[in-house]
Amino acid sequence: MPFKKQTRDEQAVAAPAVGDYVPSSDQHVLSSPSELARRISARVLPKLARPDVHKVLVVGSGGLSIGQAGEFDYSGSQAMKALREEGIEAVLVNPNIATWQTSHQLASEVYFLPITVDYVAYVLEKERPDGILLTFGGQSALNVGIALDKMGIFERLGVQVLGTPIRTLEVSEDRDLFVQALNQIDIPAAQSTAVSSVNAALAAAEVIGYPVIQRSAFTLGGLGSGFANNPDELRDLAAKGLSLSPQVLVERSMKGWKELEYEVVRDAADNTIICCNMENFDPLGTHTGDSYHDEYHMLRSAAIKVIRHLGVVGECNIQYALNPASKEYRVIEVNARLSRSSALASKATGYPLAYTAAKIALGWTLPELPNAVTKSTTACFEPSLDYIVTKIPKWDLAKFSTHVNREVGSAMKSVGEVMAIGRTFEESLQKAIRQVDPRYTGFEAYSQPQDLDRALRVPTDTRLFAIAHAMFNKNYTVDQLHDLTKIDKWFLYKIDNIVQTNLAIKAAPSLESIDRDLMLRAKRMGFADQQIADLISSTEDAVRAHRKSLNVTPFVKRIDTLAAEYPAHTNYLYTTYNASEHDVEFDERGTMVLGSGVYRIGSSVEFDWCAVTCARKLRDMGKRTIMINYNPETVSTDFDEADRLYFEELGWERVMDIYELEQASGAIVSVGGQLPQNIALRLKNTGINVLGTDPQMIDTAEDRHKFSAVLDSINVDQPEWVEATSLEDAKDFANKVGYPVLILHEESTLEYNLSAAASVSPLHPVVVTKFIEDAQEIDVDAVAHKGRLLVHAVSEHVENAGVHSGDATLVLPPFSLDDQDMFRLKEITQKVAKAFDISGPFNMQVIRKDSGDRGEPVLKVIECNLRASRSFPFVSKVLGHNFIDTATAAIVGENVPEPVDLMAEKRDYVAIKTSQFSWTRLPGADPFLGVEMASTGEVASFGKDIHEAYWASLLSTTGFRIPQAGSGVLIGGDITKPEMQTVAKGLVALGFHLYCSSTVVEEFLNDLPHVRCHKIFFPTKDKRKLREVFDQHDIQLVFNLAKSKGTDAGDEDYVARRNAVDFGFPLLNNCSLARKIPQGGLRKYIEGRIPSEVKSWRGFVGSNV
Amino acid sequence: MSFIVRFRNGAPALRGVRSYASVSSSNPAALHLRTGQSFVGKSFGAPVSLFGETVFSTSITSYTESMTDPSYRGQILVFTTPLIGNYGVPENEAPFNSEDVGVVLESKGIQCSAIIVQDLAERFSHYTAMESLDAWCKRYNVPGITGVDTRAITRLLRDHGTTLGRVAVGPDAALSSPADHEYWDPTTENLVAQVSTREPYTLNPTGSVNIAVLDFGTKANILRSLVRRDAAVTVLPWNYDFNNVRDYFDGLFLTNGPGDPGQCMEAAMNVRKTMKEWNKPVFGICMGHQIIGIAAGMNAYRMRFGNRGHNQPVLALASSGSITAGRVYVTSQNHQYALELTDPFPEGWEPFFINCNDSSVEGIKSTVESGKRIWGVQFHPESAGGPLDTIEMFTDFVNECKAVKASLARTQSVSSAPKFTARSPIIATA
Repeated sequence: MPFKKQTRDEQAVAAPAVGDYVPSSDQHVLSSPSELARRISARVLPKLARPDVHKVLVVGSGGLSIGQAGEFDYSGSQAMKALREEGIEAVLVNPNIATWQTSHQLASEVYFLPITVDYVAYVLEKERPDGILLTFGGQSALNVGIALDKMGIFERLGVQVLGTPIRTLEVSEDRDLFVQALNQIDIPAAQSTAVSSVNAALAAAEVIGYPVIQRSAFTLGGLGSGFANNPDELRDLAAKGLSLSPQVLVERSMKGWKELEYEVVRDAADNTIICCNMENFDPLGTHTGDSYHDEYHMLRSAAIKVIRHLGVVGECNIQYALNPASKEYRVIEVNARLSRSSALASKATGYPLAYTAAKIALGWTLPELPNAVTKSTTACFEPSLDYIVTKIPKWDLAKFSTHVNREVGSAMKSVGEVMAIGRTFEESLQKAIRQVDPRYTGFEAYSQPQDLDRALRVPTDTRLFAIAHAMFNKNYTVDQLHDLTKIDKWFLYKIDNIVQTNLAIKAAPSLESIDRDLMLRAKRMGFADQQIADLISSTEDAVRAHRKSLNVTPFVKRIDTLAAEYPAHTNYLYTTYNASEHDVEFDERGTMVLGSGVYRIGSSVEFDWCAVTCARKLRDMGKRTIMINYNPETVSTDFDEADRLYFEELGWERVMDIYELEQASGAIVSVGGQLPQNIALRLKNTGINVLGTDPQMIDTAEDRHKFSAVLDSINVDQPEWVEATSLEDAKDFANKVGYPVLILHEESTLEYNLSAAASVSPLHPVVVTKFIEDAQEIDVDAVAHKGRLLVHAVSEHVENAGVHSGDATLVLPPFSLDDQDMFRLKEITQKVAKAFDISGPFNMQVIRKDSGDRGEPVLKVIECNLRASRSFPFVSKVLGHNFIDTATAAIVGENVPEPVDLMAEKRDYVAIKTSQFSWTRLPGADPFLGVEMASTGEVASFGKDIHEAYWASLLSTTGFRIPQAGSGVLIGGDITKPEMQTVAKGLVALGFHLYCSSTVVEEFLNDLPHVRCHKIFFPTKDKRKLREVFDQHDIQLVFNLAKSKGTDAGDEDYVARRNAVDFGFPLLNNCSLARKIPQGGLRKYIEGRIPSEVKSWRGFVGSNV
Repeated sequence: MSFIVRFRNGAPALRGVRSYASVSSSNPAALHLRTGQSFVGKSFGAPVSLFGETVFSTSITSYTESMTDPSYRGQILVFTTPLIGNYGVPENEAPFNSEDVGVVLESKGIQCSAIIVQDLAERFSHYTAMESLDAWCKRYNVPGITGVDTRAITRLLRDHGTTLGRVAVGPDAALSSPADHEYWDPTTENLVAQVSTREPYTLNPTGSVNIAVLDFGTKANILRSLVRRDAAVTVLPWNYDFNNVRDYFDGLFLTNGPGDPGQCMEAAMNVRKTMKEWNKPVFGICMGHQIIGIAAGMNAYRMRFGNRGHNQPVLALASSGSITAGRVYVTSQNHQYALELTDPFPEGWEPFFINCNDSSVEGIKSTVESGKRIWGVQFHPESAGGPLDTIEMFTDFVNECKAVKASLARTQSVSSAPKFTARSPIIATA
């Protein structure tokens, strides 16, 4: 195997640090610090032929959605690092433009195309790779791979499936085959019956006995799964499940059993190891190392047996249910691919599972690979942890307030997750709670439900806080809580330790009376300074000062996979109070980059791209880097992306701790989204060298009064607004400027109507802004240095203003702005850069409205953020200019490039960014686009024109099923919208049959020439009947153009939207979008007829990317 | 009674300055190391001060099995996993039959001198638990320290090697650390003699093959693993001359044990004779493996910090029974001494396994050409705790014994059983 010399940024993750014994090319050698062991091993290690591949297609996972999120950016990136080390060319298909993996640092060619059978087949035809990796792009990639194999495409094109064979993937995905396979080796599987109809499901449940659990095969993270306690519940569940998957499984419910997961790695020589086992806190938290010996090793041995039998070559995950009162267990499922759990396990242990899986797919065996952390020992071992990790999901369900069901069960609803590291459970739990939401200070009663017992019994996103309420305010005992929650008492005892310490602090008469013992006890249990301050009516600053005077400060420890048995060569770090010495010396004076924290609605993988890009640029500039982040789904938390990685909280307290210890030379707060921005001014005021734009200016931009004054001073227009301290004020303003108005409530809740302002008071003022109807919205992303604009990008929204910019469809270059608009936008951008003396990235949202014949259109700035925005990766990749590289140079003020006007260049392509929604995952939520952001991710595609790009990007959204020509469309909504008729005509022209639920719509549409629309029976309460109606009319697409969200669960438009989602049909709820379906878009895959949008990123943008 | 309990569980402790401190929830305790460092935490278990050899184990589970492993005799055991005591301690009484050997854990009492943990679980949760770790330690008069930086201690031991230590509890914790010469080194004693059975005894006498076990401080699971494979097991004291009774047996097994194999030269000499004159299967684990090696003419040396944990990868260099050459097995280990890796190996012998990380010898076997059937492994195939990757080596051994018995039955008559107590009061607690 020829090894090429590697430059620093493509350094092997796991290049051995020791040993000169160089094996000859056909020898396989143990990765060991011992020369003797290496030499001896060459005699016995099996000489497996490595696949002879030179070009490999990696299938990505598409847009971030609930159930399939950032973890696949991490795993795909690791796989491509492994390919690169082997000198193998990587081609990537992934429409998720915000990811790190879609970069030329990793892939030689990138296709921003849908993860569908058709498009992946076209890319295979075009690129003709000799290998393919299917297990790094989640369920989407796996499903596509199985389908392509069935179609015989791999065979026809001579593409070798690397790693776990297709047959194994099929067996692990098909319940019947899976249970059979387990039976062959006497391993108990969860008892299940596969059914294809609702009646069969009910019959199966009668045999098994209620409660039952329904699982569906071939779906992401348990979509369409859930518990049913009686036939009525099962009927609904089965109807929904069968709409998403041709087959569902009805199984005995094992509620109350412990849930355990093992992450298993196996190589082609049959070496099999367990990287990690995790125990669920039900429903939150994962916890390693609490298992009793017999059980741990019983399940470990079973896992190895199963994985060997199935023939996994790479990495997989096996889930068990374990009876807490016996050794009885059942295998729930095996995921024969990288998963969310494997990403978590990688971060929790330091063992790079995805990287290792890719190396194994390329024919390496575990003993030959070095442990990536120690670099001296072998990868064929099982990590030993000397710390404890807690993971808590971020559900963000409050963001989908209307009708959304907040119960969390076997179907995943979380949009992200946090991971916290400590040396006691209490420490890691309280860290994790703060990471979930910076408003939380720790384990406190943030939820105080009326029906407490129910809140404890039924898992919801706030159950942990209900437990806090029960313990702090209602004096529930651990036994009572265990009876209600079924959470293992061990966890509850530990939580009780937190409660007792909390009470001890509360009992202290003053801050000064807290002695070293109590302070140490509190900090060792993970209490935050702010939390202590709240308990004794003090301030965070005072507690910090007092704590330091008691000499209670955190220590820095390393994660090294071997519990300190061997020295580590990497700096994967965390802080703890349960220690008495540091593992590292602080002599690097690096530059800190603050990451973005947990993925949530509005802040996702795009900021990880920004943080990683920034850290890499700093490295290239010769600076030492320190990354802080706590999100296990990210690339920024790979221990080789920065010189020092602190897997830590991003609150002021911890950032100060790390800054002080490291004596860092500066901190960058503008590449991690809003989270680091929130503490920027405070960091500056406490003496931290915040690099780039002055935090004072950040504050000015975020304060409506100050911001407005600045815009006035530079003659930049903005919508009229007022800060109302009473309902009367708000009404007066609305009457003056005219309705509608927008009300900005607290942080980000926006409402159209004044009822939202009902709680307004002088203490809780609201900002009321004139809402400009039928206006266009424009996003400007830019970088400046010392107030001078360096680069900018103007993207146009497809939707009119009123749809949250995070949900909007973006077009770049703009399609309807003329040179004059572009000139004026640049001018505004330059003025803003100058006024705020910006050094670094910033983003503005501008609305544009034609002023009729009275001259030039109106351009008003509605928002400005002095940081990188979520569209930075999109504009960077579309324009072929890395905005973060430029911004990093501007922030540190070194090698700052000369200004360049990227928008002046003419381009023969267009790119469209479309939002990825996860409505299916959120039962009850209204799939309606409004001023509140609801998307969980985004995808983008290129095309020669806007239609081509739009269609590709629409298909790129996960779960989009192309309706067949000649099928039915359910159309509905507001007939006064002029687009209603355009869309109806267009749909008829495409050959669809139109149906509606309302007489008004029917009459309106039937008055149009050449349009026929039938009103159909529309049951709003009975999902099963509705499903029959859809089937009867072959409805495969729902188009709904309502004015506002549904007011109640019986609202016909709401029912139409919701059921489109529940039945798995595409929902188009914006007229501008519906107009863009191209004529040719509905055609099927034809061998060899590669459509023009199947062109690589480089093919569109040129060689400069 | 109390004397016996103390003797059983803390014989080395009697050597040190012993004092009893008052029992309180925040009784201070200190660990002093001979290399000069001290770590102060809180006392739990018995309020006893003592000396010992300080070692660390990286096992994540099975503190109960580790603490009852006689190989930890005389040692102050530092757990690198931070949360200890989570699942309490189970009832340790078990039936005495072919399924079990009288205990649930690895021996009757706690074998290590003291334990050091980051965070003791004061309250436990497991359906088999009978008492807390704290209560168990108190019952067996073993001191523990919680709330100390176990990672810092581990790094010290890693860098300086295994070192002597003192656990100082209560008022003793306030005293300055001992002078260099005051530290007591348990390996200067014959620890094996303290934990080996005094009298021979037999388990599962009706088993299909007769296996003699030389007891250097056996873990109960070794005996269980043999009797569950239908072997009649006769446990002999470590220095018993097996040669006197060898004709009756179909195989010889040498167990694990604490300390320096150099203390057991008497056993090595006996085994040397056996190996020379007797052609039936011999299998040794840990100390037993070292004894076989010494008997074969190899050298044993003291490692810097040994291997203690459940994640040690070993590479098989030869195939035998269930073991495939070129395969890596994850193993459970607990040893400070190892056999030297030489190239070439003594005639008639080959290395069976090496440690992937530090290349120490993890197993030896007689070559096929030698005509012998002898295996030794440094790791613990019997697990308890640790992975079960190599558990089938017991099956391999018992099968070898059966095969030899079957082939000899055709040619010679069976010698009569030596007179041993059947099912004598249990094993390996000194």
